[in-house]
Amino acid sequence: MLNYLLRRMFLLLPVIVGISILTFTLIRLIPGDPVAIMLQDQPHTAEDLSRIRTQWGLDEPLLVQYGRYVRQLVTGDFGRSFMLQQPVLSVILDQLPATIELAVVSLVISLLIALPVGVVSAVRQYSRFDRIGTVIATLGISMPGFWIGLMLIVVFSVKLGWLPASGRIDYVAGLEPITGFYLLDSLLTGNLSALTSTLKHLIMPAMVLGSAMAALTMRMVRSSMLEVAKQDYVVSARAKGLKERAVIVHMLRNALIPTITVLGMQISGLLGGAIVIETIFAWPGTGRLTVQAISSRDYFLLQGIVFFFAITTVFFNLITDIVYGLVDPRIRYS
Amino acid sequence: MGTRGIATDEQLPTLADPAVAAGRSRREIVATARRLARNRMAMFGAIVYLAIALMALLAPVIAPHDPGAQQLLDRLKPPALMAGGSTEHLLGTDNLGRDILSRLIYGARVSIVVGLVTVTICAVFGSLLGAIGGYLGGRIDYLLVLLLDIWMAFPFLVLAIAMSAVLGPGPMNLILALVLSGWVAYCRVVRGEVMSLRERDFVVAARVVGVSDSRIIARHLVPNVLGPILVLAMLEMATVIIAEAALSFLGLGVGSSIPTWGAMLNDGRAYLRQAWWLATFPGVIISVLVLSINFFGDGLRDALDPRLRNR
Amino acid sequence: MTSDKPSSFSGRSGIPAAMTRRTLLQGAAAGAGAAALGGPLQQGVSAQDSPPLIVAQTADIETLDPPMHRARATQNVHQLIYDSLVHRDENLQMVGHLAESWEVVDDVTYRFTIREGATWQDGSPVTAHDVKFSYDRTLDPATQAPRAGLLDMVESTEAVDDRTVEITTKFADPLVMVFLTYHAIVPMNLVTEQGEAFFEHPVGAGPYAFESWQLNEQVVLKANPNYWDGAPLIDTVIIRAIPDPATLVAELESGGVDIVPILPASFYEQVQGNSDLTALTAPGTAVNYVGLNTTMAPFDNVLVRQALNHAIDRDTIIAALLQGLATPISGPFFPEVRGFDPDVAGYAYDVDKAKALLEEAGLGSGFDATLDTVAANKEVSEAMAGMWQEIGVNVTVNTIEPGVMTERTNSGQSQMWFSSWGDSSADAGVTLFRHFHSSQRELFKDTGYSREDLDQIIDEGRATIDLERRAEIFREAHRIVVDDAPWVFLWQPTAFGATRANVQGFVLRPDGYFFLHKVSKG
Repeated sequence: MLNYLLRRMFLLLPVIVGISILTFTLIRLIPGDPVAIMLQDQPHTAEDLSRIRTQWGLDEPLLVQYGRYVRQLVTGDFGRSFMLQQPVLSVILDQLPATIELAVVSLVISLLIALPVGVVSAVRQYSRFDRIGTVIATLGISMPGFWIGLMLIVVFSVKLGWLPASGRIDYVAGLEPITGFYLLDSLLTGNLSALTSTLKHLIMPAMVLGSAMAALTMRMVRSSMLEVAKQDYVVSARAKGLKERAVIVHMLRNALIPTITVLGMQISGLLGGAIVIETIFAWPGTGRLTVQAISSRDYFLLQGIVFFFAITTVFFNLITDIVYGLVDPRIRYS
Repeated sequence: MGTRGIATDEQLPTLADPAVAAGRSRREIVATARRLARNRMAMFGAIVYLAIALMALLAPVIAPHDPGAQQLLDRLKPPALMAGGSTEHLLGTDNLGRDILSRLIYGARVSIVVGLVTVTICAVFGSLLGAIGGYLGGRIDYLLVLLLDIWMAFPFLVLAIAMSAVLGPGPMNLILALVLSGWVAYCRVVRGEVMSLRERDFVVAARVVGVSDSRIIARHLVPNVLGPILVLAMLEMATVIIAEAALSFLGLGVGSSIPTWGAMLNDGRAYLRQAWWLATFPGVIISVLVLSINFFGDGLRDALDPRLRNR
Repeated sequence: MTSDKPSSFSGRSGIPAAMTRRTLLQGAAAGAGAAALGGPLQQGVSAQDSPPLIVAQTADIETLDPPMHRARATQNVHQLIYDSLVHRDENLQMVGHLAESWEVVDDVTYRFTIREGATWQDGSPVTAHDVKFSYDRTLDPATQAPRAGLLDMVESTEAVDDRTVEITTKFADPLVMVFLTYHAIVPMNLVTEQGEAFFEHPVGAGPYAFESWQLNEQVVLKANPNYWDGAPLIDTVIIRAIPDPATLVAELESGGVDIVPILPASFYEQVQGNSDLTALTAPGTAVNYVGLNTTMAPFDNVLVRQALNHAIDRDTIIAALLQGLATPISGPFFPEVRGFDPDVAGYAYDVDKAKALLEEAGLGSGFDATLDTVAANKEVSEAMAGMWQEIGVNVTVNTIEPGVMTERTNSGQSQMWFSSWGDSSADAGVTLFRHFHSSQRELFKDTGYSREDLDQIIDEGRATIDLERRAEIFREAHRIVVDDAPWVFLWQPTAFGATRANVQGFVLRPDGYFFLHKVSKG
């Protein structure tokens, strides 16, 4: 097992190098001279431009720039955001808990929808429930997230006044953050009003992200369940007169294996979806940070975020593979 | 909506199953078509899609107005059935007094064309690479897998946004951005399919008899991976349409005055309270199109995989 | 200084509860200036907190270090925490803030007397040394302050004594006072002691004291009871950043936000129709225009540029799209600008005349062009494209990222672009120099428009201290620019903001700044 892990990690190296090359190239292709944009609001001369360019090493050959970029990455230095005048890594880490919290809750919501609907749809294939469930699940991915988001805000915040339209928590809830994960923090500090406030703020954005994921997961669960249903052990279990409920539980355990791979892959989708949803709900996370980095042409910040996203995705795919191996006895680490 | 980017991956475990893509004779194709025709949801999806495609094709004939013609003094007129609406503008007018129905009809062109073109290019390019890697194996395949792993690490929407920012707006750039971020899915699926097919009897036999590689790929492998590609293409089409809307939201879509559903939806955002019809009609038609594509895609998948039908 | 002091980013401890404030006091107590800091803040602890006042902008602040940003949203918040020597009131008249009086010694020397009793939020007095330190720091090339450019007319700042500061400028410039309103004064001793760390938890002399900042979430400020202009009426102010205007308005309607100082015109009717809200307007200090690249055919032909000007029905666009929230303009200035010539008629909406001008230019059958715009201005840009279509000019609207647009206009790649230009100094010299003086073409290719005779007029006007004479000279420039039409002159947008109906005392200023210490909630 340890051997397998080490080999997997080693195989990741070329991938990470590739990611760094792609990120580096992509950012340098974006039109606009970062230095000129930084100075755009103030009187400046061509000498000012070239001085800062030299200072940032932007006038060196690309290969030299890339070399420095890699050296920095290795030491955990993602450069400095010129919009925020903070190290890029610390800005990303600061905004990360909000995105992770949103992602985890979205994931939970998607599972709460997908598992029961998927199982029942499979058990009663082609029933009315199956059809309606499929339609509803498909609707989740058929509607543009920002449209649903705005509709939810109009209904639940403006018309009904039940839920806050944006942000992460009410200031008056008086949460004293420890970890930056507000759900966790309000539990740790025993602050019930903060917990309620956090949940209220989470519901709408997490529903939008979660419902988009639920459709995929639900279909995965459904088709895996159908697949498993044909297996000998299920057929024989039934033949032996095992209770239907027990059979389904048994089936579900096996059907979950392929579902896990899908969940791992959805992490990358979540990070993308968060860009739009975080902007709509004024959620202080990395997705919104991406939009800010693009619109203020904060190249080092953008470069850092894209690299970070990519590494996160690779990491989650690795975890998925490992978990997959752990739950599926057929896979052996040799 | 960003999660749509990996919609296709859901298909992998099923499709990678060799049985799915097992050699298919003409009879089997007919059987598949028959199964598909019996699937009411799939047929419903196909009909809706064709209707929308027809609408796009016939746009100049059926659109009641010039989609770009502005009547600033007639802006935000409600749909015909509401108080203040008129049959002149069945679905009302937008923020510049343009006829919403006509814009929806013309907007279908962008959605359908961008969808079709993107998916076609992605499918051809991605499948080809995947087939080559999967069939040849060895070092080439290793490099391909590496490329796939790198590319897959970038969330679809992030890549599309970055590409749009690099390339600037415009329908061609939108397609290019979507292609550059969308081809991986086909490549992965086809590579998996081909790898498993490669070891199957009929391919091995052909090789033994001395049939050339290119001939094996063309005669035996391509026909066998068509089904999975088709299913994937259906789902990708939906992704592309949603992605166009998402990019429009971020100000990175088609960018010009060409009416697109995504841009219409986005333009209507500021008027959600005073004039709900601006954003609602494009929102509904996007959902309907994506839904119909998904239904057809599901049906196609079920039809191609008969084992799923009887447990 | 102390390690447990909340930093701007890790400072999630900012969220209130008396406990937070205690932690904060402990943190501060370990550092310098602690004894004094206890004073004002402890009052905040004892007061039973009234509901906070929540203000929302579309962008968050970028930093807490006054000269180190390029953003209006940041400046607005800095104004509340820090203060400047002088400011302008809501009628744009100069008033003393940290300076209680000033005199113009000669053309290039200004002498300010620091307000008696003006103190930092830690209780220590504001001195002339703080002023010198702040300006020197901004201008020091090592600081690399983006806002240094707004102070570069200053040659030197000297503290004559604790309460007298003298500023010498490089040349005679009547705008010096206006520029000084843009620059916050920071406490010399604390900044020197703490260095960069000071700006993670700054102390200012403004009406509100900094409490915490969580990026993209909120800035929390607490009332400074010792503010020279009276203690703020509300204990806690929260500044939130909500990027999407539709969400912003939804928050306002649902009561999640009390004040939105700037809103797009398209929400005007919606806000007005809601009895829970108050819509506020004020004449703006900006103009909207379409830049025309005079180095590219056919825009190199003045007849074409004039035709494009005549083809725009400004009144209809303002009435229909901008919901009445703009005033048509005849040239590059709004009427309040020094140098605006009321006798210039400008370009009336006249399709026939526009067509005739195109005919005369040999382009009777029209031409194709591309108009660059950003998402926020897409609607108006498309409406104008529709109007140009009437005279046969087929304009494609190209919606791009603001950063890309800046790059395209600066490098002279844009044919036409929709833009806005703000000038809260209300002096034609600023606009004329930036947009119509040849010396700027190296950095801002923009329209590529340049005329030697105009350069001379602009130079002369900018060097003229006598305001009447200065206005006279600029009026000449105004006439030349309007005739040459390097822009399609459009309108002066009206500033529009909104509050909940129970908010009292909020003034919407023409320059977009806001002060909150006289605001209360009913």
